[in-house]
This record gives sequence, structure tokens and C-alpha cells, in this order.
Amino acid sequence: MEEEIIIQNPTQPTPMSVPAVDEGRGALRKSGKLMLIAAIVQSVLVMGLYIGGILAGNVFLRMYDYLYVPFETLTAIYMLMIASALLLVPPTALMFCYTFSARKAANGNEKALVRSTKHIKTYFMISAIMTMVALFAMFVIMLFHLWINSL
Amino acid sequence: MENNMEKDQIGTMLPDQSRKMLAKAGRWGLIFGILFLLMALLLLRYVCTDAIDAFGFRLSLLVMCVLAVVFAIITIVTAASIRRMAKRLLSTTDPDAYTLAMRKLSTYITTSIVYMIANMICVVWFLVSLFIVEY
Repeated sequence: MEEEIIIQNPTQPTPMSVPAVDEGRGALRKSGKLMLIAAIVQSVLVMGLYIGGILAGNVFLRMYDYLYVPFETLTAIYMLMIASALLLVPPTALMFCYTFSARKAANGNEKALVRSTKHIKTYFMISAIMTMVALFAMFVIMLFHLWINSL
Repeated sequence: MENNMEKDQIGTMLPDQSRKMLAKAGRWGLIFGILFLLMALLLLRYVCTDAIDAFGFRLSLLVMCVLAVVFAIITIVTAASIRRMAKRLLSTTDPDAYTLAMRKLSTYITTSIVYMIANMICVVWFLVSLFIVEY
């Protein structure tokens, strides 16, 4: 019976030689695509925060005499917007890097596979460092507040 | 085992360096999540003080802080599961661990996109209410 099948379809591949579905590769490719969308959205957010911070600063400086709010509070708000925009730049760059390495890795490049995991690690690391910088800046602002209030 | 290898080639042929990097990514993700949560809680405390109450846009800042807290918790959960998968990849030759880690990462990225869009809406809301205060 088997011989008959082989004679009838000599060019038909056997079930074992059929290319297997690589779920890991698919998941990697999907994460790369999603990361590209996230990187574009984050770039827009960075620009929005930066422009918004400058606009808010401009409004605060003009409105200072009419707003019954301490000057340092106003400064803290718009400086925080500009600072958060600048702090988001390095992770955004890494997100773009991951997009390219994930695509290459999904296409079978082993070096890119190592690089893609390295990019994920660096992305989280840079994000953690930037958050630490933001926390330090907040701490300095709080100290500044306390110093102003004590005068 | 052979069936698993066919089902998930990239997971079984993953270099050792990649497995270690994935474990490190999970660890750094956890650190980032904890720091972000700390920052979000500090901002929440700052927004709840009376200094900002004079403006009409306190609610937009409050929403931003709550969103940051939620995102920080999601980051911690995702990083912990990526770390767990990486540990499984390092100790055993489980081919599905890499796929699961990548799926978790994809879900996290989708969540971060939603968070960023919500954040953008809040920034616009903040600026619009600011200009309403001005004029």
C-alpha cells in the first residue's frame, strides 16, 4: 500500500519534511512589530511632552502674578514635563533598535537573536536608570521646596 | 521531545548568552517596575497636596498618576514572569519557555502602547485646562 502511494506521488514530501510551525519565531516577530508601533507612539509622546512643557512654562511665567501658587511649584510642573520628555529619548532609541534586531532574528540570524535579547535587557536597564534620575530630580525639588518654605 | 523541537525551533536552539540576557532583562525589568511604582506613588502624593489645588487641572494629573501606578504594577508582573521563563530556559530545555516569554513581552508592549496613548490624552487635557485657566 505504501509503495503504491510513493509511485503515485513521487514528488510529494513526507510529513516529516514539511516545514514546522515555529511559534517562538512568530512570537518574536510579533513583539518586534508591536515594539515599532510603541516606539512611534512614544516618539509622539516625547515631542508632545517637550512642546507642552515649553508652552506650560510660557503660560506660567506670564500668568505668575495672577496665580496664587508658589513659583517653585509652577517651575516644578513644567520642568518635570520637559525632563520626562528628555528622559524618554534613550529608551525610545532602544525600542527602535529592538525592532530591527527582532526582525533579523525572526528571519534566522543567530547574532541578531542574541542582540535582540540584549536590547530588551538594555531597554529595561536604561528605563530603570532614567527613572532613578527622575526620582533624584524629584528629591532635589522637594528639598528645594523645604528650603524655600523655611526662609 | 522531537515533536516539541519541531513545534518550537527557536526556543530549543537559543544560545546560552541569549538565555542569560533574558534573565538579566527580567531582573532589570523588576528594578524598573519597582522604581516606577515608587515614582508614581511620590507623584500621587505630590498631586494630592494643596499646592496644585488652586488650578482646575488637578484631575488630569491625578489620572496620570493612577495610570502610572497601574503601568508600574503591570511592568513588575511581566518582568517577574519573563525572569521565571528565563530561569526555566537556563535550567531545562523547555522549548515553550521562550515562546511564552515573547508572548508576555508582546502583551506588555501592547499595554505600554495603551498607557502611552492614555498619557498623551492626559497631557492634552492638562494643557487645555491650563489654557482655560489663562483665558
